[in-house]
Amino acid sequence: MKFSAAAADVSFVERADELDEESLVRKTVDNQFYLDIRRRLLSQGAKLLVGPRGTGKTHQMRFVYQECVRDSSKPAAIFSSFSRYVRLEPLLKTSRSASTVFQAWVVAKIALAGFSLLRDIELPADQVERSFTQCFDLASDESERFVSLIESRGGKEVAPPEGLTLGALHLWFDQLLQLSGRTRLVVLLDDAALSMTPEYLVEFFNIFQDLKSPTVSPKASVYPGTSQYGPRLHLRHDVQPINAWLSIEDPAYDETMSKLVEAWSVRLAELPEGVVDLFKYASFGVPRVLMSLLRTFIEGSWGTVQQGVNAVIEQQVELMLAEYESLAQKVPQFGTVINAGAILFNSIADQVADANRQQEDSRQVVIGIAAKDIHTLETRMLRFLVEVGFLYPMSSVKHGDDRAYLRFIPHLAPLIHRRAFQHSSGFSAKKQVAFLRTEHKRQPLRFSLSKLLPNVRLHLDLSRCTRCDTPRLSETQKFCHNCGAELINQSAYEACMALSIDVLPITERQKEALREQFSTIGDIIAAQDPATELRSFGLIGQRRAANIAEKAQKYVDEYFS
Amino acid sequence: MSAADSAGKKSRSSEWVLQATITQPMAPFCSEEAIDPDLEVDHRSAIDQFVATIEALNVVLSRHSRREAAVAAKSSSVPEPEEDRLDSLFAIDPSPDDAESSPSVAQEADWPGAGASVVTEPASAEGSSAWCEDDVTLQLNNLVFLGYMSAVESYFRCLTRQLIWADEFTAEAVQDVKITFGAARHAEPGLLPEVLMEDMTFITLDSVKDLLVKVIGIGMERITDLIKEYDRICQLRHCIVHRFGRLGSKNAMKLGFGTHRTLLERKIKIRSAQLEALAFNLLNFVKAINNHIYSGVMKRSAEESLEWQWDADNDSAAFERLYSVFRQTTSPGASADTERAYADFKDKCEKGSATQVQRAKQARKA
Repeated sequence: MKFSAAAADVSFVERADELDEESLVRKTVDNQFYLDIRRRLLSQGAKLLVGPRGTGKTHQMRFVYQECVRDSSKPAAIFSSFSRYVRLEPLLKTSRSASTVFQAWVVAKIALAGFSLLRDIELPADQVERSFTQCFDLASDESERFVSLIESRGGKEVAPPEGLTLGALHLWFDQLLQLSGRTRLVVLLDDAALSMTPEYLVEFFNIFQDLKSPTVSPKASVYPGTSQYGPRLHLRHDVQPINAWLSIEDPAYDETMSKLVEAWSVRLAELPEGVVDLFKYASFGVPRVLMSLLRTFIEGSWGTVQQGVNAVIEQQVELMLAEYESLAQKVPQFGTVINAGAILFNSIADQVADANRQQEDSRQVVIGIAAKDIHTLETRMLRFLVEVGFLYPMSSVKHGDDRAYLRFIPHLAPLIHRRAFQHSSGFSAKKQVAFLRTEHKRQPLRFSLSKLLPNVRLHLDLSRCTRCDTPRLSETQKFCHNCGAELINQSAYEACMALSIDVLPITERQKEALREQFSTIGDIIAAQDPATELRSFGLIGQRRAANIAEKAQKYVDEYFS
Repeated sequence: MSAADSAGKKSRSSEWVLQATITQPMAPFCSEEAIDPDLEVDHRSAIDQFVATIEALNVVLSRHSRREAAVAAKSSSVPEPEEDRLDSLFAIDPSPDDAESSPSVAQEADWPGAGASVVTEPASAEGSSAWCEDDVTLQLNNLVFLGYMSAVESYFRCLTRQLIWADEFTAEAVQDVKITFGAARHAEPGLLPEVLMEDMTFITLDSVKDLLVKVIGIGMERITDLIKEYDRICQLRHCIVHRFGRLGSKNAMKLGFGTHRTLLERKIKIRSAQLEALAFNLLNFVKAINNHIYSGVMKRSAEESLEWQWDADNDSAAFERLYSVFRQTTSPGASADTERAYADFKDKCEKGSATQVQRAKQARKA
């Protein structure tokens, strides 16, 4: 059967940055959870919007921006995304001025976002340009040129214009407030997780701190699991977190997810009973996953409901694993740690699935891992799992000093895939949902790390000497301890260029479309260079090719973000 | 008896020497035997020879440390445990409301590691590695450091010698330098330029400046800071070479009296991690100098020489002659191949070159 009726008037767009303004507003949910997020984004003070990919961080930020553009009683807002920070990663390995270039890039992005705001509230263009030039001693199109040079060529041999300083940015903020007639400014910085380059992360949050003023409140979106924003920024002290990731244990979970499905105008009545509810749990608080589950189910044709649900969930689990495994390409020094994380997660999922299969009256999805086993690399491993959304972190509990437990909820999709909540041989989405709605046990399932991950010794994977292939002894080592040759730091970003597009965590159908034009990630990046873009597409199918290229670049940006 | 003895001696020679130390008879040292008689002029570029020397010294160090402390190396590669509090590990707990956090909450959320660790970590790391290194290692480190310094000096000498043969403008600049007759009589023609530099050293700011400005004639803007940093490293060398490795007041002055005043006459102990950093800096200093001279020489040649025809076939021999002086052939860090380097040269220097100017003039006449 095919649920074509439901599909007919549904258009799913999974990324907020692909939505036009009107549908963005139409598809925004107004319940308590999201209203709260937006209220706090608009409020005073520095804040971090925390959630894994797909939880709606970009959506909420863009919505807040639109709101501020339309409503002159609201503060002024500017919105800018930093997902392309990774283009500057190779510079770190070759140039001492990397952080200067990075800072100029960040300042330019924020400055230009302010420029867009003034344009969006329809101020006269020449006036806006004049005050921009006054502040930065630089025309806006020159700043744009600088930004696009950085984003296409990575900043090698690009000297940042001198005017792009924090001081000038604050002058520009004053101008913005004056020109727009607002009393304060909210600076929305999207994709600020900068997960591949801790060096830039620290630099970024230094700038973040410097943006703060009585009239300026910076807000940045980041992934959970990071707490190392550098010596100048302490979470909960200098900056408050806003949680964008709704826990399945939250009383508002079901209502919030239902509101989302409503906003996408899916005809629920035409879907088999229980399926949407089961998908709500399988999405684990991530709207993008829920959307993708529904879409794949509706668009596919399945022999039975059971077959459809199983296939859709299985594909989702595979995509999540692919996304997780792609981390190892991005931070190769943690390859072993990341692989061990996958083993750990599977082991957790097996244990939790077993425990739930054995009891019919109460579910048990919270786990506790003894904190005494958690050292640096173990922490890093758990952080990776939290970052991609495999583990939902809860506050830790302590039973005396040496019996502290870190508590997590593992992602439900792999559990559903393991039939953790199915107590009879017959498939019933409804029954699984009913079980998931039962009271949960008070005590978490407790484990020691050695039980979940036996015989694994975590270590860093340090790169080898390019001459004699001896692995390094430490990350900071500068010469090979075997042959004495200089050790060259390789850029992880540049190494990723040669990877096939198969590594992107996207569906087979999406990959097929990409294969028409690209074979490696490097091809996609190269197409972003305005010089090659025009050359590579013929006249026929130019629009379609350009569309695919645009999509491809979004996937790549996402892959590196 | 002894009086008679000494009386006899006194009568034999009237030069009476007071002895404070006991000497043993020594045979003259056959220096010629310590030198390999086969004349092998090393035709590798200066940078190649330099890198090879640095690497050889690194091997000396690692052989020593492997024997000394495989254990120590292992322990230093294991990263320090982080000072994270459990609660701040994962940034997700929603704080209850926007109301600015109460002082007690702020207190609790304060992160013990971060601020302090930055200040204390390097200190503690230095401290721990300092104490696990014994005197032998420290002594060896000082000697290897001298080896690095001598490699830098040798680089300057070797590069200049090769450049005088390859670049007419450098040769011109040294035309008036006088050399001794003995050297002129015995040196192989290829080694003659070496004779030129017999009185030069390259271990001070001024000497490097003279080399770049007067001998090679390309100036030193943009790398002044690098040379100043090199001069600071040289101060350590001077102390080890001239003062049993203790800090002298003149050296302290050059290094900055503010931070070094209290360290006068203290022993220089270069720890292994610091030695690695010094080697790294010297290597990159020489590479930067190599680039600077290459760039200056090529630019000058393009601007003044009519030799360049700006097509690869005609220019390849002349380009190869110059490029081979600066080219690093060994990996890692090998230079681009000649074709690519030539293309880059042409790209950057053809416009406004002497040949182009002349061609334009002729075109105008015609």
